[in-house]
Amino acid sequence: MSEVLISANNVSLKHNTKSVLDNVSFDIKAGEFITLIGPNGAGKSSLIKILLGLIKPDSGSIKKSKNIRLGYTPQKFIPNEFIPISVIDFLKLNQKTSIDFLLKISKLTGIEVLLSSSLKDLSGGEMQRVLLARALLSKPNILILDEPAQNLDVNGQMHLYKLIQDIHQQQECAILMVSHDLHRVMKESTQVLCLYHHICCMGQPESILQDSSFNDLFADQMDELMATYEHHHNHCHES
Amino acid sequence: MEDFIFRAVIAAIGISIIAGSLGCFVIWKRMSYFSESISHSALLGVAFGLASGLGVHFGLIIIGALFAALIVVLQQRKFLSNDAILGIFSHIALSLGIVVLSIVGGANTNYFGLLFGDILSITNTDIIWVYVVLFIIASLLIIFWQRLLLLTLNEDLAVAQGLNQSFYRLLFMLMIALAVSVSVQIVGVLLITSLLIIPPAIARVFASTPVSMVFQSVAVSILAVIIGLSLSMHYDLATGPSIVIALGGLFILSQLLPRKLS
Repeated sequence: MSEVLISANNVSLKHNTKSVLDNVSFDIKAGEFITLIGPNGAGKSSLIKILLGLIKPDSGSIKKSKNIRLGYTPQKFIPNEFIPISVIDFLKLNQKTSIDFLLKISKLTGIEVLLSSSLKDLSGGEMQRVLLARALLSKPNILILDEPAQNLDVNGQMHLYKLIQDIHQQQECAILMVSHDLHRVMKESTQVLCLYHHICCMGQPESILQDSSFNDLFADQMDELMATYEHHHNHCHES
Repeated sequence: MEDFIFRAVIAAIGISIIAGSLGCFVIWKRMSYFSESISHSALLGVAFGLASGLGVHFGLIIIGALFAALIVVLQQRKFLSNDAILGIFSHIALSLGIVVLSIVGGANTNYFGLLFGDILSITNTDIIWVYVVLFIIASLLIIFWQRLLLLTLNEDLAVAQGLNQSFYRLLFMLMIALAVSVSVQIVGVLLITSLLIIPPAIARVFASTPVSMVFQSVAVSILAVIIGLSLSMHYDLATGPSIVIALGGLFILSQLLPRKLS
């Protein structure tokens, strides 16, 4: 059995009278790659924020392992534009790291050329990679990534997902990623967690595809997804 | 040099270092109106200090911290925008200060000095206060520099790393209250904020790192305060406005220079 790094127990959250999260419970174990999916407003980011301790749930609790080293990249990262700070100073801010390790991680994430740039001049894709590098510098055993690929073009998305996959495999790091991109979800995750205020379904990607609540929730995208899937098995396009 | 001039210069340099460094955070956090509200509570602080017998400096710190805490509590209830809350408190504080001071301060209260600064009023005790506060604020900034900077850069990242947001917010407010408490005599209640925000605003044009911005801000602040004090003494002008005019001149110069914003 792998060690449980974080567990959510019956977490509920209300916004005014509207229920945002309803009795959500799940574990993240060492080495897992969990993708959190769900429609807009399903409570994905709220759940992430509760796991991180950024907001408190109305009821329920979060348990974290003593051995947890957590890296996090926020969904929207707007650095304070009034602070003149370079990428390298941002990476080193409030964490101890050797320059060798910093260069290694910069190489892995492809941000070596950006190190002396000003943080506020980065593009969306560059910023995501810098955030990922910063998270990796703390040598995490779990990475929480909130929609890391948003605002990236298709090429940028592919690179970023490939990078995340490499990190998962090479650094032996558990990953919890919020994503809208069902194609990628199906390919890389060991577990898919489908959230719509409550957990609709959770399991391995293949079993999720069969789940009726998943199909209801993603009806629009399912046709396209299944089409791609069948593509692998059937190369005959004309009937 | 005459004694009172010497005291004024020594006190002004200390205050420049305090306000110049702390001011960078005020600019970064967009809290200039917040510090304005706290400084407006200073009159009430003076009145409280006189009435309670605790002395002006303790009065200033206690009332400043109290107002800061009240503002933060109201901000967290989120039924009014920040600028409305700050506007309300700013003027309540100023009015209360004037009314209470007129009751407890007696007929010979130097309102003009309190509102716009008065270098003649600086005593040796005041200088000790300035440097004690300088020591406290410099120590806090050095110890908590990385954490304060990360929180200012992005709160979510900082909290996810385990930083206690409320603690640092409180700490920062307390530092503002301390800075205000020693700046009143030099620049006056109405103009303290300019000492907090104009030097870092000038430094922002030249600085390429947060640390260099702090040092440049302090340097600019010392320069402006000395120019302002000279003007004030030479032409017998009110101290606070003289310093602010010096700051304003430097600010306009800095904006005219070709910039390399980083």
